[in-house]
Order: sequence, then structure tokens, then C-alpha cells
Amino acid sequence: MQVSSASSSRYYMLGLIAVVGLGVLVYLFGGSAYSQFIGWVYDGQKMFHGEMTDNLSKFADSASGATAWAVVLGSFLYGVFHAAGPGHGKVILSTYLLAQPHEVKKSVYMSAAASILQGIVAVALVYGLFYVFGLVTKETKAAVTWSERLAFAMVMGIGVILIWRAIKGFGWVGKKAHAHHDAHAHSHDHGHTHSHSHNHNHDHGHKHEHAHSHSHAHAHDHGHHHDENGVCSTCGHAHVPSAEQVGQATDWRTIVGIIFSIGLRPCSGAVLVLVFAKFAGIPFAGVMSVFAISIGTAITVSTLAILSVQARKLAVSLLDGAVGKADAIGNGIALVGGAVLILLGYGLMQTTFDAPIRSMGL
Amino acid sequence: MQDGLTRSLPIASDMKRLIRNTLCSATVLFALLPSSAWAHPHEFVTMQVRVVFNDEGQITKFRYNWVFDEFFSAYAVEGQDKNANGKAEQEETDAVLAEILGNIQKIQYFTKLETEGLAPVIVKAKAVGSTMLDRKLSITYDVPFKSAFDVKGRALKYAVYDPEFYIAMEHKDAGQGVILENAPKNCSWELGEPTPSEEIEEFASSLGREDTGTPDLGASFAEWVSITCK
Repeated sequence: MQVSSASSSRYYMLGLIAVVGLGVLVYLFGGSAYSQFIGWVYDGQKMFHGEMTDNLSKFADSASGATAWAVVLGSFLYGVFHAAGPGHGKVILSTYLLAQPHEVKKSVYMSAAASILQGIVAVALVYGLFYVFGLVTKETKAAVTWSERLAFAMVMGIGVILIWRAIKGFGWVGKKAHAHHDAHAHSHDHGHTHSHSHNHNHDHGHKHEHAHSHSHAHAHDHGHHHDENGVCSTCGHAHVPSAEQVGQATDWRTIVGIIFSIGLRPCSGAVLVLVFAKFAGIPFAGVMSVFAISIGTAITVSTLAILSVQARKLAVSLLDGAVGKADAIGNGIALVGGAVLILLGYGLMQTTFDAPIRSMGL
Repeated sequence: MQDGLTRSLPIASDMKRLIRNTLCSATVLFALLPSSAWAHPHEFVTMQVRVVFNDEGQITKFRYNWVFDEFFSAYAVEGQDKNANGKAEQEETDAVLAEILGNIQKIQYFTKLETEGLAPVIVKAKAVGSTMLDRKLSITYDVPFKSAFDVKGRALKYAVYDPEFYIAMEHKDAGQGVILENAPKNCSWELGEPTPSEEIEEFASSLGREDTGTPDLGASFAEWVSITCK
């Protein structure tokens, strides 16, 4: 266990050095490479946008299996690429995933749910309000704005929750828990690293046969992860919950909050696709396109989510190796993450009141 | 058996770990990239600018022709589609043009002017015409100068861009972007390609503002046109 932990952080170290080296190269050969990169991103977005308008126009001119397929495929690729661009959703999700320990699987579900919800909200706001209340898109602006405000308020709320958890974790409220909590998290982290290296073996072994010792290690890790209460009642003095326990108890609410804070803000690209499809008399193709975009987005966002979960492990393991106290480090990250979300939510909220001229002011 | 298997493939598993950890570090750095890396326009305009000279060889106005992308065109026209027949009639596109001009007057029709000394002052625009062609809305309008501008001896530079870069505005390709009308001989124009690197440093301070847009992100993508007469 000691050995695997040490070698694991050695590889984290190597990986970090590789990336920092790359960063230094980019910095040295500097501005031009960077602006080329920006230009490349912009060209890509322009190209995919052009593809989308072409495909939907062709479908409007002559609906066929081939043109429908082109719409779906083009939209999917647009989603994948477009999601690589900015978006408050990605900042929220990656900040949250960096700030709290999570399982990879859960982070993927969250990404997928948020992306699909974004599609549903776009359809509901553009088509729902049109077909039910007869409002044209221009008139739905107020609804979109309020949906956004709700989303941004939730961003700030999640920031507050993260900070609250960090404060509890630091033991700034309820000193008694502090000592116990420290020890607890420490052992947890060790178990974590342990499971990491074994998991790997497990994968290999799985293809062949179930080695007894390995399934045991695996089960042990799982038990440790989920049976936090069991472990602690053995310790016998857990009167104040640890940050992670607080985290798990309120987790599903936070997760729903995250999903809605992302999903309630329809992507402008999807809204425009729906308006175009409606105007061209092919509303169903618009819905198809939007959900293809959502699926594409889900893939990119999931990738980012997985990397965020792993990056957290990396950071904690590196810092733990250097200074110990994984628990304090985790709480520190949560504190910073919470502050980032509150600032982001506040900044975004302001833009809904003081919007620059968009869409020619229409 | 399993341990033997892994031990016999140490390089493969080391590589895997190295790759994974590199990716993880990359994510962190990636997240720290300034938002300029994510130029993010949602609407596109293709422009043709007609620079109109008077008989004294002075510039009196710009005549803009803007063609919007299909998505924005549908959005714009839908709002004026009073009879809701899904078609864009002449009165409807004209109404869109009038509304746009009213809305963007306060930002000088996205126009920036530069020259030695005092730059010309833009006054209220006049609508010229509008059409819907191939699902694209095309609007034409005049942007007059308060007083005619003499180009002799000093170049006039202009750019038309959305600072927020929500709308990407580009000149038409293949030398069609600018037309000098009634210009004296020896007058010419030149379109400079955008130079993002100059503004890059400003973006570094704009982390986390990706959705609000960097105040001057559009500037880095602006096409500056220089008009000179010898």
C-alpha cells in the first residue's frame, strides 16, 4: 500500500512535469501559437455553424432519410465541438467535481442529465410557449431571462453549500469532531489510493478469471466508500458528521441543483436552431437536431467531468504526499470552489440585468 | 497469476498511468486558460461596404450591405411575421431593418473610425432596402458622415465589429468586401487580417467571464480597412 501510493504520486508528478513543460514551451513560443489556436477554434465554430444551416436548409427543401441523417450527424458534431467552447455549465460542473470527491460514474450521469435537460428546456421555452401560448421567440425573451436568473441563483446557492461544508469540515463549527474527522479522512485517502492500483489489476484479471484476492480488495474498497456510517459507529464517537458525511447526506439535492443550474439555461445555439426549423416549417427536425446537439454536448462535458474527478484525485494525492492532511486539503479546495461559484453566479446574474446589444437588439 | 500478468507488462501499465495523469494535469491547466481561447459567436454577418465619394473626392457616407446567417434571419423575421404565414414579405423585412437601425444607432452601427486628427462623425442611418434570399436576410442602409471627409494625405481606417463577439462580422471574400464608389483615381483600400495576439494579454484578466463575453474580445477579430488616396 505504501509502495503503490508512493509510485502513484510519482507518476502524477511525471504527468504534471510533462504538462508544465508543454505550458512553458507554449509560453516561450508564445503569442502566435496561442492566437493561432484561438483562430482555429473560431474557424471550427464557423464551419460547424455553416454545416448546420446548410443541412437544415436542405432538409427543409427536400425531406428525406439522407437529409435527415445529415441534420442529426451535423448537429451531433456541432454539439461535441460547441461544448468544447465556454459555457457556465462546464465551469460549474468542473468546479463542483474538483471541490468534492465523486465517483466517475456519477459525474458522467450528471453531465448527461444536464445536457439533455438543456435540450428539453430549449424546446419547452421556444416551442412550448409558441404552440401553447402563441408567443414568438422574441416574446419568450423574458421567460428565457427568468430561467437564466433562476439558474444563476442556483449557482450561487451551490457555492454557499460548498463553503458551508468546508467550514463544517474544518471543524470551525463543532470543535469536538475535528480530531476524529481528521483521522477518518486520512484513512479514507489511503484506502482510495490502494483501490486505485488494485482496480487496475482487477481489470486485467477480469478478462481471464476472478482471482479471489482481488475481488476481495475490490469489495473492501467499495465497502469503505459507502459504509462510512458503519465505519464510524465502530469508532464509536461520531457525534458531528464529517464533511464527507454532510456531503453525502445533502449530495442528491446538490446534484439536482447542479443539473438544474446548468440545464435551466438554454444554449443560444439550440434556441436559434429551433426558431429556424419552426420558421422553415420543419419543427420536428429542429427537435431532432437539438437532442443530437445535447448528446454531442453530453459526450464532451462527460469527458471534462471525468478529467475533473481525476484531477481532484491528483491534486489531493500530490498535496497529501507533500504536506499530509488530505482532509484539510479537500476542505480547502471546497472553500475555494465555493467562492468561485458564488463569484461566477453573481457575475452571470449581473449580465441578465445589464445585457449588451445582442441579436441586433431584436 | 494476475500479479504475474501485471508484472510482465510493467511498461503498459506505467504508460497508462502516465497518460492518465498527464490528462489530469492538462484539465487543471485547461480550466485556467483565459476565456479568449473560447471565442464564441452565435450569429454571423457577411458585409459589403460601399465607400461613397462626392465630386470633390471626399467621403460622404458608407453604404452597408449586411447578410445574416439563416438562423438569425429566421429569428429576426419571425418577430415581424405579423400574419404568421412563415414567409418574409417585403413589409416584414423592411420592418426588421427599421427596428435594427433604431436599436444599433447608439453604438454607431458597430462602426469604429480612426484617422490622424478628428475622425468623421456618424449621423443617423437611412434604410435603403431589404430582402430575404435563400433564407438569408439581407439589409442595406446608408451611414452618412456629418461632414464630408477628405482622405487626401491621411488614411481613413474603419472596422465594423461587435465588441462582445456574440456576432461575428466579416467582409465578403475575394475582394468583394469593399467598393469605392465615385472615388478619384489613385484611391485604394486594404483589408488587414485580424491580429488577435495584440489583445490577448487583456484577456488574461478575464477568467470566468466566458458567458458575458470579454469586453473587447471582438476587437481581436475585427477586420480593419484602410482607405487611402494619393
